[in-house]
Amino acid sequence: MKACAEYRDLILAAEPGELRGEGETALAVHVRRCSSCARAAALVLEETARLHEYLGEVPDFDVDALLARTGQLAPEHERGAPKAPPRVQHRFPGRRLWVPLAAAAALAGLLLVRGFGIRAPATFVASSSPPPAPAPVVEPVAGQDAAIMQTDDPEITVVWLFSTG
Amino acid sequence: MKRPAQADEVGPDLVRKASAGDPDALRSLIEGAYPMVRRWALVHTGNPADAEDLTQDVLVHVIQRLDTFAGTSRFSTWLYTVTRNAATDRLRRQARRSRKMNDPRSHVSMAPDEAEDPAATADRSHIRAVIEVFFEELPGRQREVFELAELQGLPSPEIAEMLGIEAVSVRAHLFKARRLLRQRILESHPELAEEWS
Repeated sequence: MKACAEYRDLILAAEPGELRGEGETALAVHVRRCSSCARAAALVLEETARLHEYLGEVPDFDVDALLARTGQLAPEHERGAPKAPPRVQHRFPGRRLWVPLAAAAALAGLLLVRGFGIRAPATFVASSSPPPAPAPVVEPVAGQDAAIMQTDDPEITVVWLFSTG
Repeated sequence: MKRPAQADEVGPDLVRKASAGDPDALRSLIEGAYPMVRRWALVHTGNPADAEDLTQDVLVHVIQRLDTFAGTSRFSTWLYTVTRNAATDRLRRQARRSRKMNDPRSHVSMAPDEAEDPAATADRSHIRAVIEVFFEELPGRQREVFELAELQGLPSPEIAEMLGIEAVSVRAHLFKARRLLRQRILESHPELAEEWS
């Protein structure tokens, strides 16, 4: 049987399993029988495990910050913000343009037929001042406003509905 | 708060999806790569603060240059090469700066906590000695091989591929690293010092 000194040299180069006394190599068998060499082998394993643990400790990592830094993710303050409301899709998208134009054309036609005997625009429904003559009741729907103009002819009032959107 | 590193292999599917622009896959890939890169960075730099900086550099490179990973080798092999190259560049820059400023750098920052109890301090002094040997006495190549083979349990052929050397060289480096480190471990214990020194 070899002296412990020779086994100690083997301990320096052995596989971890042999140090744990696993297998039937001469060293593994000796480690199972010799308390002194078993203690040395155990110390080697223990300190190696601690080194493994030390190297494996990692600080907390903010993956979002890194992705934001590289432009792969919007910054946090932008990610938390509510989205802008979707734009309203009009059923007739051209209406916003042609309704006022049509109203203007109607007014122009009326002026041509009746001459230019229109008094200055007198009343807007939105205005706080009361209409001078018997005021027609006009209730524009949501998204519209109305302009009411008296003509020289008391029987004729021009009502212009137009979109405010 | 620290958490233990996870040695999970980043799978090829994840790499493919991340490379194709899948943001969730990219996030998972970076989260999976971080512990490995951080560990390797520490092995190369020997300094936690430098390791953290190096890790960030490597992960930024991975995010921006993932498309250069050809997929002919393992992702971990490519990642290790990226880390190693970045570490080499960094150490070269530091050496240049250090020569200019004559600035001796401390490798291992493990100052004992004053409030720590004596048993913990004794334990810590042992591991500190081992860490110092690991970083200051082992040559770089032996340190790399010891970490990959002995601590992470990777087989010699895989390490050989990662380092671009022969498997037989891997075993030779491991043999030398084990001898030196174990010798120092046993010498650092007074009860065994006489027998082992």
